[in-house]
Amino acid sequence: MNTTHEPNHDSPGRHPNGETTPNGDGHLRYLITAYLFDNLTDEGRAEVEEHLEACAECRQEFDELSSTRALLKDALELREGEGEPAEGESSAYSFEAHRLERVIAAGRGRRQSTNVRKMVRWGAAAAAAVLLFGVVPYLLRPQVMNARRSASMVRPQTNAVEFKEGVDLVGGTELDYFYEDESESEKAFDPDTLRSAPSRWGARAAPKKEENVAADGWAYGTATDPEESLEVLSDQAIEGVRAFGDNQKLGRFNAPAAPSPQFPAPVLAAAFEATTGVTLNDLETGGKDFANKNAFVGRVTVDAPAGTTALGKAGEIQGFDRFKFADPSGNTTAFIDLPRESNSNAPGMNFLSVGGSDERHLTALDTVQIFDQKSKVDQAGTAHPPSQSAPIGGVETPVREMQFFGLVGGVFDDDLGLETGERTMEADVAQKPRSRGTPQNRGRRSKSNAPQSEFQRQNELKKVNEELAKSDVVLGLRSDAISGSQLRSLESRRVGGVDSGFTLQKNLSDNFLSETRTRDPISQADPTDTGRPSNSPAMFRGLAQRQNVSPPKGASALPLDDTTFFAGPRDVGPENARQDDEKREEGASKKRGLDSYGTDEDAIAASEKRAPSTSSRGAALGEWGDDDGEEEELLERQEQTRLAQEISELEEEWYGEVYQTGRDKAIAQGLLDQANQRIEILQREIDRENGLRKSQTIDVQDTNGNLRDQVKQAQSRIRALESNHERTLRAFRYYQTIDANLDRGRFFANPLEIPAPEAGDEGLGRDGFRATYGVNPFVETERDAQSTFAMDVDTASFTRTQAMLASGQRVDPSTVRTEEFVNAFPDSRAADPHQAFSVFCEGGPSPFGGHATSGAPVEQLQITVKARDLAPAERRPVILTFAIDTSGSMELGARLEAVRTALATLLANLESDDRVGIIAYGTQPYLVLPHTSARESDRILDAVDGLTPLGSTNVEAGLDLAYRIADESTHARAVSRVVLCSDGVATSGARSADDILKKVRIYADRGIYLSVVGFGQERYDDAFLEKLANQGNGNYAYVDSAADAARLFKDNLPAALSVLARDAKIQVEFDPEVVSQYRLLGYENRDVADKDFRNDTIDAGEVGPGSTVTAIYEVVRRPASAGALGRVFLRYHDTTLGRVEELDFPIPPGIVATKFAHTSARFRLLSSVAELAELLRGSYFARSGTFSDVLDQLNRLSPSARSTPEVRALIDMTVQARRASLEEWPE
Amino acid sequence: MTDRELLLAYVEARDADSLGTLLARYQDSLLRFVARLLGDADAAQDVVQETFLEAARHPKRLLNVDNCQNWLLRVARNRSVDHLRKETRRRRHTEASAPTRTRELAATELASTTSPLERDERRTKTRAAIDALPPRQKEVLLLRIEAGKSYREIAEIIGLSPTNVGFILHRTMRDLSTRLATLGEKDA
Repeated sequence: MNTTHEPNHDSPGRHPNGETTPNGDGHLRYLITAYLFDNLTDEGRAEVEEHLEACAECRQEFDELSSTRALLKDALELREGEGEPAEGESSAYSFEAHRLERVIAAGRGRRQSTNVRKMVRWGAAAAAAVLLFGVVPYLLRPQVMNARRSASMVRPQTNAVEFKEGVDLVGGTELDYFYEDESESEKAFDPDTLRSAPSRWGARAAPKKEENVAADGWAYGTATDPEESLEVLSDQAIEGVRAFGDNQKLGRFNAPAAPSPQFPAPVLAAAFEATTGVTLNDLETGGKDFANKNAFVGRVTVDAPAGTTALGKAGEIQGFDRFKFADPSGNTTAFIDLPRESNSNAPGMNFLSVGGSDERHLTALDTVQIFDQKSKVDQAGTAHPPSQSAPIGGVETPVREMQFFGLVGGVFDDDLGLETGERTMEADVAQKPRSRGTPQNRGRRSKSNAPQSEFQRQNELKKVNEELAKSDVVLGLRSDAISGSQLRSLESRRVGGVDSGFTLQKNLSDNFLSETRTRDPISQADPTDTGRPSNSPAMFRGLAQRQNVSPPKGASALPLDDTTFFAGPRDVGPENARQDDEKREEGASKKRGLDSYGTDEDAIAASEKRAPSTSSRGAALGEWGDDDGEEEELLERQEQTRLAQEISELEEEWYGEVYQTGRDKAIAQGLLDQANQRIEILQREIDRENGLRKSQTIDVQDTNGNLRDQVKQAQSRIRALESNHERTLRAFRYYQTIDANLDRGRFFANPLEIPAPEAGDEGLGRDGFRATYGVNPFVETERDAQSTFAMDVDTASFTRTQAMLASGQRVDPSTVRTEEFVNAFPDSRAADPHQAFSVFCEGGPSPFGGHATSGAPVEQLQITVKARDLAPAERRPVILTFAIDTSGSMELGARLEAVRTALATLLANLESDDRVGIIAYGTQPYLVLPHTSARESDRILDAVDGLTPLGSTNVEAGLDLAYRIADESTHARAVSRVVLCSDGVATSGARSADDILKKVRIYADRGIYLSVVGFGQERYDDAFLEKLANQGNGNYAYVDSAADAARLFKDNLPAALSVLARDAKIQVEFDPEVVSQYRLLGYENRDVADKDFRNDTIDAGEVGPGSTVTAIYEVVRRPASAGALGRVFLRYHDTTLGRVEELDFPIPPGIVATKFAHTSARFRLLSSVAELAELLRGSYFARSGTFSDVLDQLNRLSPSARSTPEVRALIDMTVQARRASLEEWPE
Repeated sequence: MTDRELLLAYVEARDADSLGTLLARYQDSLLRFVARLLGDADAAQDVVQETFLEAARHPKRLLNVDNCQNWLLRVARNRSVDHLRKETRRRRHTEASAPTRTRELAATELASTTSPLERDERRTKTRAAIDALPPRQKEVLLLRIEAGKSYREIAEIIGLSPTNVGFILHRTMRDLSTRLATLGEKDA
């Protein structure tokens, strides 16, 4: 093996994973691949070729790899004919043309006026519904109900909705109907808005016929009758939904209508008709496209067709009065169950069910508005004798409006909303208990046969329920509309189930109804109505969701009209009270009377009155008349309250069960997601409303505060769970060190706590303890009251750890130095300019105590030594000699680029009398640029640009040359410094590390200091570089990004270039009367013997102007002790004065806060930083701590403190560290 | 016109067709990459479309990069990863009960689009071997062999260092070598 090859392939070949190729050391490893793929420089290639010549093993590998490559190329190559998609399939090889068209169309629609965006929210609404509920939203939303139109039913021609056949309809169908509305005549849909906006599809203007025929020949919602124009949602909007990332396949209606077996059109039509009075020929045309459609959400305001006949009261069912009626065709009988005044079966609920013949049973919620023209007039203020109003029966044209929620086929789609990991957890839970075998888990399993489905079901039910809660009517459209089996098990999620909707309904009832009506009222009381067996599974149950909005006792239980609905929760003023009384009376009379409906004219007048609000209001909340601002607000609040209650109920219900099972986190996550989605939706709705109705004010703060709180709760719950997991994992690792055969499953099932570390040294003595655990122990002041160490201003350990964590690499605990972490957070306080150092002390309770002490709690003491800044006149010119590593590995990860950036930053901040010289070293060192004035920065940078990485890393030779050059151009006034830029260590060179260090020491003594700047992450000898810098009286920094470079060479430049104090030492002398024990965090390798503090020949730390050195102690004070904790002594060689100085500062007791909350922000920050370091280095004293605790502390910092880049980076770092530590957690 | 000119036409002159022209340049290569990566042609169509929509929405991001294709690849790759993550979770859940549909679809898809001429076993096997790679290896391999990207470009696209790319690619190649060799022996 030729040694010249080694370094080059050595460095890249050593992967962070520590993995090597099977070839073993000394071979080319991945350079062969790079060579194979022609990704080498000329030199690299030459080198590989040379090596291949010489090495048979590598040659063989090269041959193997190159034949593999040929195979791969062949396999991946596109052959003739392969690009052609099979019929009806998308091709794996070419992008579908119509998709590109969509994109282009989206691009075209990108910049539309703002009212487009408003418009778009409607569309996005449905999209959000898709996301939220895993159902395909389906909206019928008439926008205008003016007098003329309301008289005639809006019924689009079947052939008006024409779509291409043969479309893949796997996911379902999306459609939207539009009624003409001049005010909302925008067409374009912005995918951006679609993506983010919530809730419903919207209305838009009537299409102008053929212009909607898209290039692909599909017609989109061409209406034939301008009066009753109707349009299907524009293609763009549909595609906008697609752009959501769900894989929803959008189907289209086929025309003419062809009801298919999969879609029992009569069922749908009849059901819908019975509820709304609209004959659903248009929906029928949905035909088979409904086959896989899950559900739809809609809202419709319609006039019942003339000729609807009321058949009168047909019976009583469980506290409800049933009224039957028939539609004009006479084919369908429908019924409505209205609650009686004192309905004991549904306390607090305003319950209404609507059913139709032929097994179609409809259930309406209490928000269904069924009112005849009479009640409309009432609302408008015209008094009508109660006896004249009747909701059902007799009246020919009842006007109803309702939002409906229809369910057709399977409810939940694969791609929507449910991919939050719950199922993963589920699977685990389902399998694990067996192996764990704890009684607790066994108990859980036997309790629930199918925890998966139970869990899933609840999640999904919640989603459905949310939609249900917003809907006024639930339409069950098929007997197999909602598959209970789908809910129970998710194995066939796309396949229409065969179970009935009964399951869902029942489940919903179980969950959300205070009183569950499980028996079928229809079959019981009116079997003739259905003509089916009374135990038909296809029954749909009524749902009463809105407990919070139910009318007060005494008020009409019947949702007769707008105001009645709101009568309950509203603060009823005298005026309203009067009205409410009327309504109540009217309502009561309706129940009694049922004699006649109003006239057509009245209905028209009523709907005219309603029109303004109808057109301006969204579908979201319902249309409640003209004077409804207040009511809307109220409704918002009610909605909020209801939501909150719902969520909290669910949480309670779920958490009660699942906390023991380990699925909790996923559920909390699910909740969080849902809460967030709700917030978003509500926010959008509110935004939209505000936009549409300027006069209306909705308390956004209040609205969102509520949910935000819930989000916060959910977040904190997740944190708590992760914290538990982290704790458990740590505990496991800890106990594993005691019992190597510890069974993980069993341990996790019943985790133990890590015993809190003793505040002592385990009897090992200070040195013994350090040798065992690598950290300073607690020292008893009676034994040794002095703590002495050299100042250290390095920060490399912090920067480097940060970079490692950010790139997902494992952090080697031995490279984590607490003091470098702490010192990476400089103190911004100004130092006393009249003395070299100022000292700031602060103490307080240790937030991460957790130590077992035999008395007083552990407190933390932070001693910050701040060096004064240099006066401008004091600045001396600097002569910098850069020794740049140009070994092959520097090519990687743009390291040379980083060097260049660093140098450029530096040059921009140097003075014109400063000089920079550059040498480069690979296998051999060479002079790149003799010392040149910093003014000529172009020349200097050009020189760096000319560097080519190649060869091994001969640090020794590089340093030799650098020192020689530096030595030649010293200047009496100037500071000379060698800056070593390296990504690794010596891979070649004769002498040992000690020899190099010795040399550095000699030059340092002659006044040429060495600064070390580390790059890169692999093969990085942190300890060696640190020693180098230490020996060279220099600082050691690590650069991983341009930001690091800027900090180092710009912000800290004075400190990096000049030295204020040489051999600076700190000695803290505690008063044994006050402090019983202390522990110094970090500075282990800066230790100075107590007796050497005043020995000025001892090498200690060099401190530049403006630097901060912070020492953190944990101390235990004697109970009831008073007085100063001790004194801080600083001793150093002052380079300005040219003599050794000593300063001392007291540590008064007053600086110790009694409560952590009283400490300064910096104190709290540093304590977290120190704990983070302690955790990362696996400190004995942090063994029972967790990253979660640190994160908690960081999150408690003030928002302004948290928003600084340093702290943000620190938080990121902690999160990454925690994530890494959680990796072992079983999914 | 160069990519940049097309983009400028889109951004400044609001000419959506130039965006179309630009995207059309990369659509098939992008799709092939994603389809291979996901092993699901349908999902790939979606992913590519999403990617394009992203470009349509934020053309300025594209303007800020040197290489449009790399940007698109990066976005598509990230979306694919999201998709895979979702799939994996879903699969893990349903695996025990039923084979997943996407998988089957993908398999049929790829098989059915192979003409008799190429239905040569070796290719099928090689493809299967590629499909069986872990996503990270797969993407590096595809980016290198199929998209012809340099180590550095790959590194940018998937957010690793070129060293890592080199390493992963090497290991992938070695794994595939071994795997294909084993297959060959079995056949023999």
